[in-house]
Amino acid sequence: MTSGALFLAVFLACAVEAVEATTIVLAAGTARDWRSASTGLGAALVVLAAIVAGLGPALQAVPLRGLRLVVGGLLLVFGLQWLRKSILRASGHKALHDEAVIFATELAAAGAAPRRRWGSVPDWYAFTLSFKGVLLEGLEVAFIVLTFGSNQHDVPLATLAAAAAVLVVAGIGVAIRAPMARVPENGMKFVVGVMLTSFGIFWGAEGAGASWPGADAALLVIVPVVAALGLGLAGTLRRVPAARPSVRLATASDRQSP
Amino acid sequence: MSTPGSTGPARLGAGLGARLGVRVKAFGAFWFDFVIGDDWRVAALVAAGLLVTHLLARTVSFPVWWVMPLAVLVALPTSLWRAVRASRRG
Repeated sequence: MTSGALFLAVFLACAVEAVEATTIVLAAGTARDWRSASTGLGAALVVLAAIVAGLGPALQAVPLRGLRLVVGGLLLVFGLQWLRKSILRASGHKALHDEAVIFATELAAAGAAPRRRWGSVPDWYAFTLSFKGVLLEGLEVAFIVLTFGSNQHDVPLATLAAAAAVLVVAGIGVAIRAPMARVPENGMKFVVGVMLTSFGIFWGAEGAGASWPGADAALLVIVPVVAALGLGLAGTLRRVPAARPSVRLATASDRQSP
Repeated sequence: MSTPGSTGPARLGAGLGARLGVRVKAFGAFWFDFVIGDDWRVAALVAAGLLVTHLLARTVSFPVWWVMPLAVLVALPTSLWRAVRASRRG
């Protein structure tokens, strides 16, 4: 189960972030310059790959119990952030991401900025917009790849899942040349939140010295219980009136987090 | 602000120091936001849960796996409720 869960969690997390990064790269390329936007995208992917390649082997060398304690705790904090935001969005208490509106806004902002050449990059603005967007969205995925992968002693599988997600989303993005507004981002974020929270509970407790009844099989109970808790909380909060209409443009700070 | 005793290099040094301070602060704020997120109490509860699990695992003979699920059961609903209350207050 754990290898499949590892692949699914990393694939979905990466796909969600890739959808958001694609919107930024598309805006930079459409409004400014495709060569500079592509160079920014490539440079960010190289930095992310270097982070995973550099830290992956280092994490594998840490004793498993200590690794599970630290990584379990971090995964749990991350997972609860994803779960919290997806529940707030599902219940109407936080704005849903609207990739079409975000794309239009990024496009307008990118069109207004002055053009400046830097070295071999024809348009520095398009490069930095694309680079920062991909790096910020990808940093979280790199963290998930490292933590999940090192705990399972399978960083290559986690990297493969991330690469597969990037290829699928980038392929669709290139094909349609438009923001992927119909992707059920919040549902995917909820699943990732459930996975990270469940594995965070499991590994964190093990790392702190607890033993789970049934060992790894305990995850077969933890995952559905966390999912049920999340769905139950979303259902309960839906009955609480929202303060204001829930669809607004995601802000820059929203984009840096799930 | 310039004072009668201040010199050009001193002002330059102060300016560089201030800019460095702003960058260090922004760097710290980015990582705090990245790791801790919107609600630091969730991270604090997770850390407390891990600490309690560790202490109980060393001192008692009964199973202690339930501490972390309990921490999540407390952390998630209370954090959501705080977020909803804050958004309703505007």
